[in-house]
Amino acid sequence: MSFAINDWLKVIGGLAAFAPIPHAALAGKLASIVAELIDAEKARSNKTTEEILEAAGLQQDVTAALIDAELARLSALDTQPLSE
Amino acid sequence: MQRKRTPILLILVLAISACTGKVNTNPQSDSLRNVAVQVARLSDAANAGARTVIALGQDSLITAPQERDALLIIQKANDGARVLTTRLKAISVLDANTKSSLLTVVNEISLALADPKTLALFNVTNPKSQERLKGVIDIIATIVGLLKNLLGGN
Repeated sequence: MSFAINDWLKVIGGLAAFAPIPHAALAGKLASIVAELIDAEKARSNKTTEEILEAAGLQQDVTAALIDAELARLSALDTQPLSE
Repeated sequence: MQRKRTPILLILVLAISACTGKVNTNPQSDSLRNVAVQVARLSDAANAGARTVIALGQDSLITAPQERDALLIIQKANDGARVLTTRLKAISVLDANTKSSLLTVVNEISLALADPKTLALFNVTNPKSQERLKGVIDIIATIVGLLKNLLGGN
């Protein structure tokens, strides 16, 4: 069994969350994101154009929901009374 | 100083190599497939960028207004990728008219990336956060540049 770089990045990403080092969790999240980018790139090589576009559409929906939720959270922080 | 930059440089190099890597193509619909692949990469970059910005915000490495500005730019890139995907799904041949129509959308994303708010993001005081934010925007800008090339805009 051989480990590709993206497999190692996933392992690092998983372990970093438990490391008692400042911003280790962030580094772990970033490592996981890079691993997913590499996985997505590999997966595309075997897909048809239609399949690539279908997957991209789903990805865009996920991203839109993620951004909307975070923007809503940030707006809620703005409107919170200072006394809370 | 150089050692401190290694992690973000590694991420940048990996992400950009992922963005420019070769993909098997069908000779009969090469250009359409190539554009579809770049649009998919743009979607991936927008997703990865949004998650990176949210993670930076959670670790208080950027302020809430900076996080909001960065997310609004990424949202424009994601919305642009969505429009491109919808149009590409509806066509079977990439002729000059279609290219021109797709290029208009790509140019709108370019304009968002060149917005003064985007440039202001690079004035974040923490150098590591600045590099990461710049990395997110640079990856999106690189893919937008590749799309422009494919569509004959450059």
